[in-house]
Amino acid sequence: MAVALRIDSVVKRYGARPVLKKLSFQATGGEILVVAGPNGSGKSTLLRLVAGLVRPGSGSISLEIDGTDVSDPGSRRRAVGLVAPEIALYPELSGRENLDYFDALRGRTGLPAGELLEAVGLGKRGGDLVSAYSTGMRQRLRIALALRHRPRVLLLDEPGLALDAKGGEMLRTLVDAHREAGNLVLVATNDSREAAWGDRTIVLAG
Amino acid sequence: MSWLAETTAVLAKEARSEWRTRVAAASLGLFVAGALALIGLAFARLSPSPELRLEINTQIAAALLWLVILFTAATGLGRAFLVEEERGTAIALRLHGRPTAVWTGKFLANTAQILLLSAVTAPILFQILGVDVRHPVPLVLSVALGCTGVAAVFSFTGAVVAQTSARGGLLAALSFPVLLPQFASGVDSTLRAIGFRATLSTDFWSTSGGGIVQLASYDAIAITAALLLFEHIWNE
Repeated sequence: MAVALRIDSVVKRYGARPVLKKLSFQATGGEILVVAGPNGSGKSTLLRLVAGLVRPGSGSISLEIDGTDVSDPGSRRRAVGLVAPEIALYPELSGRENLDYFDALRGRTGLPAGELLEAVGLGKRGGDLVSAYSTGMRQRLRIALALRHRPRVLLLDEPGLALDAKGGEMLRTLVDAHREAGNLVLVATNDSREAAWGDRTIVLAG
Repeated sequence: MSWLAETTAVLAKEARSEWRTRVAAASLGLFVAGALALIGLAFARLSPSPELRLEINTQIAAALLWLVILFTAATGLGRAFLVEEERGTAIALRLHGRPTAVWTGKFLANTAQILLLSAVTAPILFQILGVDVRHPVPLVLSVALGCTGVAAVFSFTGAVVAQTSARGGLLAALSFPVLLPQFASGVDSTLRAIGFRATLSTDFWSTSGGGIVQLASYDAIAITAALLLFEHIWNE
């Protein structure tokens, strides 16, 4: 029951501008790895690379979960849970309908929607349309969506964004529980409170 | 859970979203209503003899029908993936959905839309033009198979265009050359089904069944090619 992520000499450029220059590190299940660095240093890009949403210019990303190689981008996409500001949910559907739709695409094997909505503090608002949600409520729903399929690798990009104090505590509790269950959590942040969650920190120079 | 169930989930979500927003129904419905009204106004002013008028109308009925189908498709069908990219929902879809299930669900939703609009448009158009359809079953088959190919191509090119930054006009520019054989077969089959080539139309299937086969073959090729290529487009 292990998770092993290996980033090896990864280079990523946007046009002529290098964002990640021969980045290498390893991470395993049961740890929280904080990715820090100034704006534009490649924190979000790194999470998107691990999620299989963008491809590196050179270098390799390998991911093994419970003895199974899920290194190809298509497999990584479905293996990870990602919370990122650019992920939008369907405004014409309710929070619960959004969760159920994406769960249906995964074979309806996820955690019960009601349980998750309670966990992120949306228990009473799950039936409301997402168009009526505040920015903080949408972030809570993103967190619920990322956790629904019990991902062994959880990628959090500025996860506390728009969350109130109670939401911050909720997030911390969920992240700790996820780590305790032997999963790997990568947190890209510049928030000092979130940075303190980490067992290790890597700093991207930019 | 099977691929089919995932595809059905996409189709059901598309139907639910459309039911709640009515975006496609409003834009496509308005376009079709406008086109039919203009055709009606234009042909009401034609004043040759009734026989000549029927002859003219029969000749152009098929072209007008497929013109409306083309522009309806260009207006609405290509937007399925563009909307996902513009709203930012495409990322969640990429993370959770199997590419071929996503494409097929959206293709089926597009097909249903264009079939529904054609089912409304064709009878009204033929009524306006006073065209009497001689072979209704081949006509329905021609339109249904033709629309399926149109939906397949626009669903695929819509996904390609959604990945680019220069979107204006690109959808039609990419789709139309690919669809030319389908439109040629569609117009020809429709002409034969409404009885324009009367000498050939006494036994439709022996003389004109080839057009239907061409339309069905095009559909099979377009759908297979889209399923094979979509994953590469979607994952870029």
